[in-house]
Amino acid sequence: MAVVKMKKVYLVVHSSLRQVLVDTLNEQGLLHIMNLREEIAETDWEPLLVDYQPDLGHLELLLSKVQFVLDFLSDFEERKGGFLSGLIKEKVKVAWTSFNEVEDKIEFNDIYEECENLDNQLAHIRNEISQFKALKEDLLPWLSLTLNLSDLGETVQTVVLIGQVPTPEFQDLQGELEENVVESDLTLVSQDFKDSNFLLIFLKRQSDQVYGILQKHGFRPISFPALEKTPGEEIERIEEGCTDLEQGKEAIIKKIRDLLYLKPDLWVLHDFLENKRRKAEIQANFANTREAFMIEGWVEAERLPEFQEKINQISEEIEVTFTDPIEGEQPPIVLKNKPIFKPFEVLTRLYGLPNYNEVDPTPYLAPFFFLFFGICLGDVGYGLILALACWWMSKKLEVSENVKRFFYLLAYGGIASMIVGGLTGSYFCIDVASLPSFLKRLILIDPINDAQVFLMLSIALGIIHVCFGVALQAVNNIKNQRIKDFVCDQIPTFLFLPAVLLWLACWLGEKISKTPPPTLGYLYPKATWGLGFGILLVIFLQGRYFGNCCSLWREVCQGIKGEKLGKALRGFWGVVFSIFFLVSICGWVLTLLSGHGSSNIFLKLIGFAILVGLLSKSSRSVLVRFASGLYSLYGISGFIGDFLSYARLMALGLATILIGWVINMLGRMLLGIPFLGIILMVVILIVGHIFNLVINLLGAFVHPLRLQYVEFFKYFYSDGGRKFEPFRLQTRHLILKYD
Amino acid sequence: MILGLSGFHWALLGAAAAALGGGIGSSIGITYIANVAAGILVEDPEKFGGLLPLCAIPGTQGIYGFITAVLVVFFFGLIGGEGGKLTSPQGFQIFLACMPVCFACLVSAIYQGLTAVGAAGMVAKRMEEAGKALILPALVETYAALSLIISILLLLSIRAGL
Repeated sequence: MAVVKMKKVYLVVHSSLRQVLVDTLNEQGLLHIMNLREEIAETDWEPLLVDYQPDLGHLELLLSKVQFVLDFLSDFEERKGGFLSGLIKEKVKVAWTSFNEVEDKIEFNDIYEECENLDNQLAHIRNEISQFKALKEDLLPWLSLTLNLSDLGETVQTVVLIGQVPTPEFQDLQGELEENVVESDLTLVSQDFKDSNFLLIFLKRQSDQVYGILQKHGFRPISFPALEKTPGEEIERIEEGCTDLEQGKEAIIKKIRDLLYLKPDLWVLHDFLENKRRKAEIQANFANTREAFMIEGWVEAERLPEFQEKINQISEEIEVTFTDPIEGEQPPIVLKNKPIFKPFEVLTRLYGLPNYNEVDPTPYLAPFFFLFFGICLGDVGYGLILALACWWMSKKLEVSENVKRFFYLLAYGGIASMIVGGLTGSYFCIDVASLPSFLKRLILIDPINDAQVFLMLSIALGIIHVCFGVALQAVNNIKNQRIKDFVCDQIPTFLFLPAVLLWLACWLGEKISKTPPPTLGYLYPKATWGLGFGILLVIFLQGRYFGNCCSLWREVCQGIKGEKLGKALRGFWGVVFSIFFLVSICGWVLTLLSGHGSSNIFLKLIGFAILVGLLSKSSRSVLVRFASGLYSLYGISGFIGDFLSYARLMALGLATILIGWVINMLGRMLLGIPFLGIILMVVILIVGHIFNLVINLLGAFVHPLRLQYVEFFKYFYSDGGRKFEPFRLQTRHLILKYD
Repeated sequence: MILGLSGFHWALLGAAAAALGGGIGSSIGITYIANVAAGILVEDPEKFGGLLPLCAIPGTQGIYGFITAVLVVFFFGLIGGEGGKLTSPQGFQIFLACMPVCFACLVSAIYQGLTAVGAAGMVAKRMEEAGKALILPALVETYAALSLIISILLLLSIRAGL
């Protein structure tokens, strides 16, 4: 249950074995290949390197063609499944052997040509249809014109033309023509708020005069040179043409749909080609010389024999060497946990992988996430539905390993909320009073009526969780031999937290209860003393006060040894001042706590010390340490915020129950309606409870996760590990089955 | 009588204010993030799974307000008719108890929506970080949850004092 140990591997191979080796590595998928070329390029060995440029042009072209066909076909796919299929991508199952033979199996070039052809035809038809539509739009205003369009133009004596002017101008135009050119005929064909369309007949000899008037009113001539019959007949013809074209389009779409059966095969081809490209690209990471090449990579230590065996099978000529990671090297990370914790790795990955020498937080966060999720969802019915649904989906859907783990994680969450739901008596949020008595006996607390208890419980869980985080930090420090950090940081925290909590409890107890119990009177003064000592510990240890003291004493020793009197004296003054200051602070706090004697003397001493301390450098460092201790004390107040943050567990738990309760109440109200009532009730119950489950599922996932990341991880965990990504076959659309 | 309103009226006002504050905040917050999400989905419909939780996150404040309103109705019998017995000061207390949820949810939902917009940008660029993107807006939610808790505690203590 930790980060898997890795070995670094070097392979030195003759160029003739290049293809076999790459294929084997790809198939085996055990080696995380590093860029050795780049590493070597910075050393003296650089002149030995030979450039290796894999020819990718052809592959890229083919891949983009496959992608085009796939996109093209998907556009015509009839969507099914709807909502859920948008969230989870299904994959195709393929046997290993047929995967490798896919290139021979399908005549891709024929398919591509056919698709391209169909695409062109379709584009052509679409273009024509849109042209027709535009023409029809233009003709529509002239629908009532019964003149053949070919008759427009000039006769021997007259001019016949159609055109438009802006509607506001039309009246003026008409008037002016009637007045000035009597031998003309203006017929309004159609009119809207913008333009007026009209037919105008006039004598040729008057055309100058007519055109002059027309121009004045913003005339635009209109003509349909390609058309002959009346607009009505032409529109009819266009509509017929459109129907024909639409039919042609449907026929082509049907042809395309007939090709859809090829899609799974094309996916296989796509992934196959992509893998081929990856095989070519990875070779840029090898250090190539004229005759040989070298690979650097990481292998899981446990699987090294397996790896070596396979390599030896290719040829005895391949040189394999391996070493442990050296200090400062960052091997890629593989997490390994017991199967029960495996689904929780999803959460660790989401935050970021640990560094090689760090602990894997998965087993530590798992129980808390489980419990918190349970509290937030907190209902037996919802938990059951969630667990069953996730279990079913993980079995039924062909999804990747990661998605499957996520389903298992949610299924765990469902189980957790069944447990919590049982303890709080929540079954589809039905009123506790109407539960059968054997279920009532299981109930520990009633979250609504004992809300205070529920809240306290949430915060108590928070205290446990945070303290666990600090404990892990302590273990981490001890493991990595940072004893000083452990003594100075974690020990004061652990002593201070109980003291401050006890004191808070006593203080609150005295303020709230009217008749404090006798134990309180006994405990309160003790708690106050504990608090005082805790504060002193935090200030002087976390501020590294004593560490500073020691380094000052070292200065004294060095000064005496090197016979540098000035240095020794400076150090000595620092040490004396430290002790003086420490005593005056402690004295002040102790007199305050005990209530005996006057603390004023110590206050004066402290003031005097600060004034004197500021004068010299070595004593100033003592004051700086003290100030940083005060800051640590302030920092510890952050714990209170962290603890309170866990109150959200209660809020989310209540949210589920109360919304469900309202849904049930609505259902009961609907039951009052005769006949229809029962149907409506069933509908509202199903829809309502599904809504409640989904909306609270989101909260029940996000908030416990936040508690892990923000409140828990900050004490002991930092990410930054690189994922172990072995060179292997990666599929986007497929799940491969090995025989 | 405080401001001429009976206890029943004050309690109603409190419940309404809680539901209103949460509801307004959530709808504004969700509008911000859903608009952006729609824009991202135009380019990349596959990111629906990563964006939907982000869009839903500012919705919880509306639920908190709703819960508070339901609790007022439930605790003080506003439906059954017992609410008529509340004295005006008691009703006023109920009204005050609803205020934390009303205001904290109103404001935090809007800002949570804005934070989610930033997180949506993260999802748009790097889908694999969708999990982290979800955590950031959830930080804003803390204060809505705290206000809900304090409102519930206040309501409980008022009920205990009746």
